[in-house]
Amino acid sequence: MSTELANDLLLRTLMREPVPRTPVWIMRQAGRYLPEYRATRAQAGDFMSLCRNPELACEVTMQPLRRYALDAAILFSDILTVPDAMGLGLYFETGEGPKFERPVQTADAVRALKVPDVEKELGYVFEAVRTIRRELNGKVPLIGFAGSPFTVGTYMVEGGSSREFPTIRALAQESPEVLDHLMSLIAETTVEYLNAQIEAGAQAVQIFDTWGSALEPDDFRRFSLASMQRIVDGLIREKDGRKVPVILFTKGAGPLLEDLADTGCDALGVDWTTELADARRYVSDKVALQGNLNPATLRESPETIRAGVASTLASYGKGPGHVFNLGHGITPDIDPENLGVLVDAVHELSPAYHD
Amino acid sequence: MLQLAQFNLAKLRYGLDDPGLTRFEIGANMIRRAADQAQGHVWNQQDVIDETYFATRSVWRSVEALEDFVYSGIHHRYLKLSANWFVPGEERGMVLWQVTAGTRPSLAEAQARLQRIRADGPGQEAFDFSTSRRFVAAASRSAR
Repeated sequence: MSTELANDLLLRTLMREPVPRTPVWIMRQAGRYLPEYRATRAQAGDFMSLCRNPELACEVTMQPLRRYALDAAILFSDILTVPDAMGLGLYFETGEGPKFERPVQTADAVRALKVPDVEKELGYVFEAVRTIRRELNGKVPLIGFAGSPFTVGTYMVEGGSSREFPTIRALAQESPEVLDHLMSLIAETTVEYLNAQIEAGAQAVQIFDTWGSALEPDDFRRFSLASMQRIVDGLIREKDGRKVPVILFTKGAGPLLEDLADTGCDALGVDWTTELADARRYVSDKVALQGNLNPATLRESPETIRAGVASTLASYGKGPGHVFNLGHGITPDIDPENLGVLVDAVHELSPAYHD
Repeated sequence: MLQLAQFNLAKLRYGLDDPGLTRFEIGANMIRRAADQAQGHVWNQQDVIDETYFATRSVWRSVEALEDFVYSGIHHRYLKLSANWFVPGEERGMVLWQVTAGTRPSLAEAQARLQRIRADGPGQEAFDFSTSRRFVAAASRSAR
């Protein structure tokens, strides 16, 4: 596979190397706000059928790149493919989000978790990675991803989506060693999963820790941070003579960014509740930062969107190491034209922040 | 009833605290757990000897059960990567022998079996995959 990239701004920025402008990609850029995505999803039948079909997963991955001058593609998949392969029986109920037939709530259930043959059971993901790389043909890099063990674990323990996480919180209080064990099993499977994505062609990887900051700081360090550390330690960090950067994104991390920067990752995602200038101080420029415009800004006028881009760039300030993104995924209600305004503004305004 | 015991000994490239070994350690954990769930698996134990050698002992219902596990799935994937973590040995590192059901071979016995095949070549008391057909009774071979 060719490793020459026409546009390597993202990879250079994640390694904090100088670049002429700030690269930009958007979390959930292949998503429901795009009419062409909704059409492809309808063609696939349902969400998981879309994930499991490498050709269609490739198609939706490419769709935003046809509309916007983005600097990266991100694999179209879901963080719950991992627990599905661990034997939990993932299914979707219309209007209720993902659910598991067999939640994991006891020491016995944790012990009984299947050790998946990742290559075989998640082969459709790696085939999608290979298909996307062929289709990208070196235009921009491809980002692979997985969920953090704690975030994935919340779904596994609660049996589906949750806002309060009563069961996993009770497990953390009453049987913390069982939760430790679960975290380490998910972390190990995730290392296998992400390394297989890298072997298949992912050129950077991101770990989405959506719910880690719902924990008290000490519990965050024990259950979420430690398991992400384990993943960072186990990942392939160089492939075909090029570094494979690792991005950790803990939503709502705030001052915990300092702890996250010490894991040995290359970059941290920042949500919009922390100013990038503060985030930069927390991490002492040890790692690159990614973010962090409030996704709700995309509902505003073009002028407001441009102003939001300008203030995000200004908050990070001068120098390398900033990847422009939203502070969380783009929502389905956004007018696709508005994302074009954002991307154009990053291209236009960011060169002033680079020498 | 006879079962199959296996012992493998390999020299690590890195010290136990070296980050170069983290992926191996994760893989070894997953392989141990995958073995526990594999068809025909009876018992397994991993040891690090003198902080230098990685040893695995296991007992299986048959040669075929062990072969299926070794040459498929996660074990096979890590086998192909083994040069990343192990110094290639000049001598053979693996030995098989038959045990009565319920036996859990000690490290001392396993090492003695390895010494035996290294010194004398394959025989009834210590053999390898390629010679197992000669030394394992047909009845026990088919009991997966």
